[in-house]
Amino acid sequence: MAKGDDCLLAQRILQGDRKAFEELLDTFETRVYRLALRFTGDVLDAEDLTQEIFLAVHASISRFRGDAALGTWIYRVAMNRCLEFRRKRRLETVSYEEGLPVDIEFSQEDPVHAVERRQLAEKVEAAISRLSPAHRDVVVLHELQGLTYQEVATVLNVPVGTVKSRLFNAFRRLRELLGGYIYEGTAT
Amino acid sequence: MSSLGRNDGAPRHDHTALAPCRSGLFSSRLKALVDGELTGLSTWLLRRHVARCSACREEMQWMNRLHGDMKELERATPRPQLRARILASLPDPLPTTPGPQAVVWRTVPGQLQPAVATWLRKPRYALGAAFFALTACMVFAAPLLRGHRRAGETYGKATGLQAAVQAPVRNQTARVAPDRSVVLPGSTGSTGSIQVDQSSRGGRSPDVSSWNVVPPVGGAATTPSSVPDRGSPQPSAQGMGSEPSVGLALATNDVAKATRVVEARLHRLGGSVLRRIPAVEPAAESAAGSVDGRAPGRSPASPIDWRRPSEGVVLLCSAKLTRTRSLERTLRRLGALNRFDPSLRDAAPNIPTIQPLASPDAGVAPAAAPDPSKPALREGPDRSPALPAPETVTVALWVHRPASVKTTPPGPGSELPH
Repeated sequence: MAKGDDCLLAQRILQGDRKAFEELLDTFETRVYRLALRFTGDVLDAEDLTQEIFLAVHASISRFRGDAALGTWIYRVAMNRCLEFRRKRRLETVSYEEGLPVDIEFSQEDPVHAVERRQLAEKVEAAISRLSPAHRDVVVLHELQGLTYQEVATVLNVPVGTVKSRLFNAFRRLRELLGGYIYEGTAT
Repeated sequence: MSSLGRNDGAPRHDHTALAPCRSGLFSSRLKALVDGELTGLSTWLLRRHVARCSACREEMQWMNRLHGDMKELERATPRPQLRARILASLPDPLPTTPGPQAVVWRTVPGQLQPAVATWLRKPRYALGAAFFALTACMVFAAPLLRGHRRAGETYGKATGLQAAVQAPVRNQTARVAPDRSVVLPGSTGSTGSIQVDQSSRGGRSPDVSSWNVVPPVGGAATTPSSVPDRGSPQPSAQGMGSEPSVGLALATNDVAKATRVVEARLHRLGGSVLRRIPAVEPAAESAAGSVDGRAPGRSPASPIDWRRPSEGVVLLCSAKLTRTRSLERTLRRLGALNRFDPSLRDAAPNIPTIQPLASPDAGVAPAAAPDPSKPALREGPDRSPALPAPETVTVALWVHRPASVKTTPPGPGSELPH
């Protein structure tokens, strides 16, 4: 979405155009939901968090100045909410959702292959979850959400160089954690 | 992700023990090169280095493949209801931008508002205006305060769980009838019952798939006959007033621990346990304890042994509702507590019915059966019942250990997290 389109969409939402907000939902609902699911690990909590994020976006759309892309701005709002969720959860003495597997759907394919993929996906998921929060946030935003380094830096409010180094260190750590799994063909 | 395979045989290559690149300056930028985030000279220099360094080349290949494979992890899609929920929760009408309105306000002919502002800047007029505003507030607030007192009087004749909360503390014991219904003590005039349907056993919230709230019937329905029969149509749930009462049952093999879990979860939901009422079954009633788990014949310091068969406690809790956390979702959260003890999910008893007791000596009232004509409360805006949307809800949680379950020490899998 071009910057001009972003500003136009934000302006329409400000003017009370419900269709405009639905367009925004079309574009960002799934991405924000996935981000929330990463932080909550629970579908119900993720839905609640997604709803809160979009309500916050709606309430504060007047603060969108168009300096960054609308998506980046929404991600920033979403990350703030997700980090707040994580902080609150950390304060909890009793947690129930910890360790809940994230549902991953696989298409129709060879069962053996599907099982292998599922095992590997679980392994990669487990490795990502064992990263430090700073590294995990960068991996989630860049690798899973597809944001560029600059966008990740804007969302996390850190320099681009920090994003680069965190990502590199995160991959080093992932390599250690995924030591039992190797890539076919990589070995020489 | 197909490029990955499990190293279940002899290891082909240990990737964690790569010969490190002697030029650490380049290796730290490999990820940026993979992601195409380098430009100009940096890219050229790094590509040149990678062409010569096998360690960096291999690491780059590894990063490249993991980068591609991780994208496939994100497949979760939101349920269709979420979009409807978000749209339904938007404020209506949507707010308009404040800027242009302010400009219009300033250009209104007559300059009334700026004139008032100038007038108010003078201290004596400002003081007079403040006095006028205070008087006006008192005049207008008086009827509201009278209304509040009336509401308070009404609250004194509370129904359902509210009455149980307000009942005298001493000798308050919930009774479990032979039909597994739980009878709560309540003040005179209290009516209403709560049914919890445990029809759904799958998923993450097995005990709150649906429920019905039976509102109070009439004004002085203190006899058991006032409880609606199975076939009789039940009044609207709106009759419950501003605070609907609902009940849940939690099966556990350690009631004390489960109680602590409930308290922790309620804290997260912005609520608290208002009252703990020991629940006893008829067989154990002779040794029943009074409120706060203290047996009548025992010293006040000795609590009831919750590990006895057929033990339990009814927790009257308050939970805060928000715009994004509806009554149903709150109950789902509380119902999801059963997850902590998966071995007991299938051992939960039949549907419990929680009823306020008409009077302390009225005995056990017959259980109100669920009304098949009343639609079950399920998720989704299209199935929302006619319940009001209060800010706080009172929930009765019957935490109990089913007598049919053998007393086994909780294993590591069933241990509560702390």
